[in-house]
Amino acid sequence: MTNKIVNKSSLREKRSNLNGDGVKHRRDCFGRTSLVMTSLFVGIVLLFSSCKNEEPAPAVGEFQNAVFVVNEGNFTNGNASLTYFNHQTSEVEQQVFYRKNNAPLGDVANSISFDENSIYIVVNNSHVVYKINSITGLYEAKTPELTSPRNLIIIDEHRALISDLYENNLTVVNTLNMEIISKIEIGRTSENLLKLDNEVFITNWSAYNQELKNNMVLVLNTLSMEITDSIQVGVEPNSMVLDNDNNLWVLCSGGFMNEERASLWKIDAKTKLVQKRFNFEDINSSPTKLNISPSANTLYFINKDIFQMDISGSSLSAIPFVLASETNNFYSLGIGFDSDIYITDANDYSRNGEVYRYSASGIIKEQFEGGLIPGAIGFMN
Amino acid sequence: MRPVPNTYIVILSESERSPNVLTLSQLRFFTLFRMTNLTWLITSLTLLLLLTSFESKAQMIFDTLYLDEMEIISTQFNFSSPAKSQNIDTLTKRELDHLSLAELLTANSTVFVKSYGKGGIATAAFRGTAASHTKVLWNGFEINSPMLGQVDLSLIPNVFYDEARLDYGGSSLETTSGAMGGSINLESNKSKAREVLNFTQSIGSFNTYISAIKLSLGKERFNSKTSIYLNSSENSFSYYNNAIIPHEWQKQENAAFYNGGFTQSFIYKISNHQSVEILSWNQWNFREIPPIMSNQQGGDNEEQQKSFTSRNILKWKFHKTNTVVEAKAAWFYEDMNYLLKTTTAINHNDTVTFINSTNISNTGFINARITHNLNNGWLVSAELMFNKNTVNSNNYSEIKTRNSYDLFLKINKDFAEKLKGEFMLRQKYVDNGIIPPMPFLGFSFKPIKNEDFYLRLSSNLNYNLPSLNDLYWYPGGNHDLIPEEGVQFDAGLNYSKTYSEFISISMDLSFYDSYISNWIQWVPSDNRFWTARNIGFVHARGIESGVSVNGVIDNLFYKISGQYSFNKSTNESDEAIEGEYSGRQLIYVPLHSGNIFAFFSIKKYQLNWNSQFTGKRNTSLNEETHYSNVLPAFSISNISLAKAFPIKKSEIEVKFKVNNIFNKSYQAILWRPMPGRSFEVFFTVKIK
Repeated sequence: MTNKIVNKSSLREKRSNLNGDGVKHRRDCFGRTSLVMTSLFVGIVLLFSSCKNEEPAPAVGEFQNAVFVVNEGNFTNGNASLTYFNHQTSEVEQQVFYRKNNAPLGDVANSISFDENSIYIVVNNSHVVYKINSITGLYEAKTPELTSPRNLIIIDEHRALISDLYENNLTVVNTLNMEIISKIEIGRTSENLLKLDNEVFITNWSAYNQELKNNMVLVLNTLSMEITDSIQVGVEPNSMVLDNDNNLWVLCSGGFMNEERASLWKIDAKTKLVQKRFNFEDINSSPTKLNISPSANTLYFINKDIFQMDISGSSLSAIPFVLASETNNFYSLGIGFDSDIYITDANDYSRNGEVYRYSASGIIKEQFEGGLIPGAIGFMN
Repeated sequence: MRPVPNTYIVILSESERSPNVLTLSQLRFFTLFRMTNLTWLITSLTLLLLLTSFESKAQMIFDTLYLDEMEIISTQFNFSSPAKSQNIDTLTKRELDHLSLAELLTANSTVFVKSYGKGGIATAAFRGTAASHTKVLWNGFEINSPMLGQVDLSLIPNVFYDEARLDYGGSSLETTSGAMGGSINLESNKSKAREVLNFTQSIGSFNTYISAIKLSLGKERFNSKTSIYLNSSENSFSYYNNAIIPHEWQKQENAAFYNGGFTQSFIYKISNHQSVEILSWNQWNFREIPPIMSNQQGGDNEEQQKSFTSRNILKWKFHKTNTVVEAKAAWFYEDMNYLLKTTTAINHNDTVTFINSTNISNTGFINARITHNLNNGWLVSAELMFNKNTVNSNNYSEIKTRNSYDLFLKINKDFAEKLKGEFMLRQKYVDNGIIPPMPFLGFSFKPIKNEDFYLRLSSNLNYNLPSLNDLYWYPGGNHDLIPEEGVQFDAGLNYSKTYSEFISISMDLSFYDSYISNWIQWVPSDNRFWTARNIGFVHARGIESGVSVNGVIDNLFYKISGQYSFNKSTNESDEAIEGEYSGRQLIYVPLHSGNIFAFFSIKKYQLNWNSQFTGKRNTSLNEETHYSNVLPAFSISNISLAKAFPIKKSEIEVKFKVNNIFNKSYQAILWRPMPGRSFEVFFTVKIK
C-alpha cells in the first residue's frame, strides 16, 4: 500500500522534472507518440470530412403509351411520387418526376390531368400544381401559392379550373404560365370537376371550413364563370362520371362517420334533375372512385372489393368484379382507353403499393409496383 | 490500525455502475476486487487529499493542470460489471453543457438520436429499437411521457444534471422496465461542485442566446444547488432548398424556439449516515414547427408547441455498516399544448384549420430501496415502487389513469475475484393484471490476473407497457393491447491499461441480439382511422465498440475517444414476411454510425474537436431505390477553442466554436433542412 503512494509521488517528481535527465527519453516518446496520434487523428478527420455524393438517379426516356400513377405519399412526409407505365411494352419507371426534374413531387400528390402538350399534377399539401411537358416530363411552370388544391380541369385552350379542399373558391389559372387569373366564389369547398359543353360540375366533398352540409353538386357556367345551379345528392359525394346519354353519375359515401347510407345518383346533366337514387344497404359501406368504361355502359367503383354495374340497371345491382383478398387494400381505380381496368393496392400505407391491370372481362393481365399509396391514375392519349 | 468500517465497501459497491473513480495512472492498483479495508482507507484519504489540494492556490501551472485533468477524467466503461453500463464522458458533457441531452448523445455515444433540427423534437433509437424503448430517468424516476412513452431529448438541458449513465439492453432493468434498447440515467448532486458560481453566456448564429447559471452554496450539513437555463433562437438559417422547382437558397422560417427553466436542490445531512434531499426541476418550452422543404408555399400557417413541466423529488437516504436504505417520492407534472392554425392562400386572416390540443399529465411515484452487503461477496438489493399516471387530454374520451407496482430484486456475487455474477428480477403489476416477470442473469469473467480485461455475458427478458396514447387515443386507441416482449442476449469484453502517464487506453466491444415481439404499430383499420395493434416482431442485433485514449505529454493533456456501432434492425413479423419486406432495415435506423471526440488542453488553452458520422437511413420499407427512399450518409464536425484567464480566486473563460465546420448540407429527417456552418462565442465566469 505504501508502495503505491510512493510510486504516485515519484511519478509526480518525474513529471515536474522537465529539465531533468528524463528529457531525452520523454521527447522521443512525445515525438513518436504525437506523430502517430496526429496522423491517426488527421486520417480520421479526413474520413469524416469527406462524404461521397449520392449517385444521380438513372435517366428516363420519353413518355409513350403512358399510364401515370400518382402516388400520394404520407401526409407531411413529402414523399409523393409519379410512376410511369407504358401499356404497350409494360415498361415501368418509378419516381419519374424526381428523375426528370431533380426535385421531389412534394407532399400528397392528388390528381393528374392532361391537355395537348402538358401534364398537370396537383400536389395538395405542397400547395402547388406543376405543369410538365407531356413527352419529356420536364418542368415548365407551377402555380403560385394555393391553399389546398385537389383537382384540375381544362376548360378551354388557355384556362383551367382548380378545386380546393379549404378555400370556398375555385381558382382560374392561365395554362400557359400557371398564373392565377381569378378566383370564383362558390361558397363551398370543392373536389371533383367534370365538364360537359359549357358547364362544369363540381362536387362538394368535404364539410371542412364550411357551415353548409356537404351534399351538393354545383354547376358552373364557363361563359359567365358563375354558379348557375346546384343539385342536392347524398352526403360526401366523392366521385362522378358522365355517360353517353349525358347522365351524370355521382357516388356518395354517406359521410366520414357514416351519417347516412352511401348512395349512387343518376342525374340528367342537361335538366339537372335527379333520375335515380340507389342506396347501399350496409351503413358501413364507403364506396369511392366511381369510373365508367370507355363504351360508357358499365360503372366501376371500390367498396372494399371492386364492383361493376350496368348503367341500365334499375336497382343497385352491382356485382363484384375483383374480390379483395385478406391482404389487399384497394385504394384507387382507373380505366384505360382500351377498357383495361387498373386497380391500385395501398398495402399498409408505409411501403410501395401495387397496381393490377385487368381486362374488361375480369382476367388479370399483369401487375406492377407503384409508389407510396398509389392514388390517381391518368391515361395520356 | 483500526479496521476501516465496511461502510466504504458498501458505498463503492453501490456505485459500481457509475464509478467516478479518478483515472490516475495508478488506477491499475485500485481494482475493486482486490481492495482490502486498509487499502480503501488509504485510497479515500488520498482522494480527500487530492480534492483539498485542488482547492489550494495555483502552484506551478503544470501541477494545477495535472489535478484539473485528474478530476475531469472518469472511467467511462464500467469494467467489471456483467451488465453493460457506461458514463457519458465528463469532458464531453462540459463541452456541451450549454446544450441538451440530444446533442450530448449524438456527440459521444452509440445511441442514435433522430432529430427534427435544432430546437425540434429529438428522440433516441437505442440499438435499433423504438423511441419508447429508450427510458430516460432523472434521479431514478422515469421522465418518459406517459402519453407517448418517449422522451424529447432536446428539452433536457445538460446543466440540469451532473452525470448521464447509459444502461444498455437488459442492464436497464436495474432502474426500470421496458427499456429494450436501454436506459439513460441522469443523476444530480453526484459530485461536489467545483465552483460557487458558474455563469456561461453564449451568443451564436441565427440569433441564438444561451445562458446557464449554476450556483452552489452551503456549509457542512446543508447544501443548496441552483441551476438556471435560458435558451432562445430564431433559428433562421439559410439552406439550399432542392425540394422545390427551381432550386433556390431559402431562409428557414417559423422554426424559432425558446426554453427556460431552473432546478433547485437542497441537501441536508442529518448525520453521517443520513441525508435528505429535495429536488425540483421546472421548465417552460416553446417551439415553432416549420413546414417541410417541399411545402414552403401556402398560407400564413402557424404550428407550435409549448409545454410546462415540473418534476419534484423528495429523497431520504440512510447508510450504516453494510446497508444502504433509500426512500423517495416524486411528483411530475406536464402541461403540453399543440396549436395548428392554417389560413387560406388568398386571405391570411381566413383561418381554415384550428387545432388547439391540451394534454395534462400527472405522475406520482413512491420508491423504497434497500441494499445490503452480506459477507463472502454477496450483495443484495430490493426495491418496491408505486407509480400512478393520470392524463387529462382532449384527445382522450375522458381522464385516464394507470397504476403500477414494481418489485425488484438484485443479487450480486463475486466468486474468487475472477468471476462475478448478477441476477436481477423485476416484477410489475398494472391495474389490469400481472406482467410476466423480467429476469436478468449475467456473468463477468476476468481471465488474466493482473490485467483489467473482462469478458461478460448476459441474457434477460423485458416487457414494455403500451403508452396511454396507444391505449386511449380517440379514435384508434386499443385498450386490449398487451405489453411488448423482449428476449435479449448480450456479450462483450472490455480492456483498460495505463501504459505510462503519456498514454492510457480503455476499450469496450459488445454484441447484442434482441427479439421484440408484440411490437405496437399503428396501422390502418377497417374504419377510416388508424388503430394500434401488437403486430410487429423485430430482430435487432449489432455491435457497439468504443475506444478511449488519454494521457499527458509534457504540458499537453489529451483525450480522444471514438465509438462505432453497427445496428441491424428488421421487422420479421408474419405480415412483413408475407409483404416481402422482412429483412429490410427499419426506417430511420442507420446501419452504421460513429463519432469521435478529441480534447486537448495545454496551459490555459483548450481545443475540442468532435465529429459524428451517420450512415444511410431508410425512410420507407421499400427496396432501396432513390433519394426519397434512402437518406444518404453524412458526417458533421465541430471545433472549439477556449482560453481561461484566472483572476484571483476566479476564472474567466472565453470560447469560440464553429459548428458544422465543413458546411455540410444534410437531412436527418427527409425534407427537413439542417443548418450549415454556424458560430458561437461563450463567456464563462467561475467564482470559487
